[in-house]
Amino acid sequence: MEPKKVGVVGCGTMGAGIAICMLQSGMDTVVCETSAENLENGLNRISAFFEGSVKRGKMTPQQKQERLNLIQETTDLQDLVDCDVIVEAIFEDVRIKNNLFRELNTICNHNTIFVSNTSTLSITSIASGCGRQDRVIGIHFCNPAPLMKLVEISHGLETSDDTYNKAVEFSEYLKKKVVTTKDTPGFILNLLLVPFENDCIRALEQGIATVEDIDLVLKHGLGYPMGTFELLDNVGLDIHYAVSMSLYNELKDKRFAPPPLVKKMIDAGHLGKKTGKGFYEYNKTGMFGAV
Amino acid sequence: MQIQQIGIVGSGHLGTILSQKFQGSGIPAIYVEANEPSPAKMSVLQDCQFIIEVVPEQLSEKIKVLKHIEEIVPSEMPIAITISSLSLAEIASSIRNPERVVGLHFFTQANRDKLVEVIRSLQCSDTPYLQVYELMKKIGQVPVRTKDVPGFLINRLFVPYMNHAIQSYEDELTTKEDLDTAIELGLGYPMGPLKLADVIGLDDYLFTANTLFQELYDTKYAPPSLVNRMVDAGYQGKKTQKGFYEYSSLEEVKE
Repeated sequence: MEPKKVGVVGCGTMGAGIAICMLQSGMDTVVCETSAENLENGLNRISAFFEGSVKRGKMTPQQKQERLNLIQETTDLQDLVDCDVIVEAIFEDVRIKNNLFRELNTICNHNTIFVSNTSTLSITSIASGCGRQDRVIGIHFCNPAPLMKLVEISHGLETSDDTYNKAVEFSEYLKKKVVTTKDTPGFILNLLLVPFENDCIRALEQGIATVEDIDLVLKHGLGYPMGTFELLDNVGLDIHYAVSMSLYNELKDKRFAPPPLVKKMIDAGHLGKKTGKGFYEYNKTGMFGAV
Repeated sequence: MQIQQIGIVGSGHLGTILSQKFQGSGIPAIYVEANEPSPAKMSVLQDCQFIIEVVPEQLSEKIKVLKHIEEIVPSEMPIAITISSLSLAEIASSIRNPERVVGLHFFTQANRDKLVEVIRSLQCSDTPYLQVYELMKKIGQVPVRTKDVPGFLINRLFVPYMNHAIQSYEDELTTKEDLDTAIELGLGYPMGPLKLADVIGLDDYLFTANTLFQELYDTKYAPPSLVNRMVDAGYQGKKTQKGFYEYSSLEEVKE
């Protein structure tokens, strides 16, 4: 399948990143947000990324404009009617995502495939009762989506083989490397990453080593590109807390539960780069696209 | 502090590597074989400012050598001992001045040989600990400070992650190739967990995980039964040409 027209619902960090992937592959891309303000913020994210590419000499101003011209911006779900694939990157909540797919089902062409970019929720639950459960699938992009090569594809209990095959083709069309997982909490990456991060936080709580020394061990001892505390500051402690709780609620295994320090830091407003202080301190807040 | 001389006591590969590192940093190091320590040979240690013990990881051997050293060097001289899974407090307790004993955990695998964990036991005092930490910087190592807890820092974090990855594979979450690819491309780690287990050696990995589990009794440290069965079957990884993956005999087996 060569998708001609695709859509993204939700244009936050992940949604914008996914839209950028689509635009770079030359697809007509409908970008849908809930309000004019959110839409403008989302489009600014996309534009800032391409502007960065121009500044680094990876793209001409004309190429940037060609990509931006592929965008159809909207706050109306009706505009997604004739998309081949729609990827949702809205708030991580099963009910909200399920309601979106129910509504889209009444709008979109029969063949449109609904993709969820959820990182921890069940694809089967998100698809449940939406009216086209066989055409719903999970494609989990990694952050930052334009730069990370991997996607995790997971099929719900009712996802058809045809939908799976199309999702693989779509991902390859976006030049992503596909790994296939089951519809289990956290898929592969978050299943393994989140308890590891929590173990690092516990080692810190227990006074086994400092933030800096734990990050040093991971980078020099294990060759990881970034220390856990650098990574958590980038992701945001509030997001880490939500992801950990979501996995814990499904799996009831204490390795996934966020250690008490995370809650304390959130209460103190130490969310990471975005607030200027997390495990480390930052002079200016991190900006998407500056990577 | 200008360092006049370092004494290295022990045997084997690590002793040789360390001697070279000191020489390369312009710090004179004398090397004393620990196999049959004689008072005459050991007496050269008197003029050193630090002693580093590199005897193989066996409790009785380490204590024996440490007691010999104690009889020769001044009571305040810092003694660093290399250690990977034993209790530092237990070894330090075998001599009269345990406060000057500092643990060093080196990594001999080629791509991580800069790292050294500098381990502080309950008895250790500030001065020798900081001196050994600074000494490691002087020879170009990346020292990290950690406590005398099972697995120290790196294995305490690494073993549960590896167990979890192997268990997920045993539970058929995905294929071995997709699992390794996800970790390499999704997290940017240099090697996926199953490939890495093959490089480490399943038998060595099993030993490390069991050692941690037997101290901590938390199931996250317990090796998955698949590892036990693979070792039973002789599938130890690259060194036996079969682990999670198969390797041809022509392929170079790296340490």
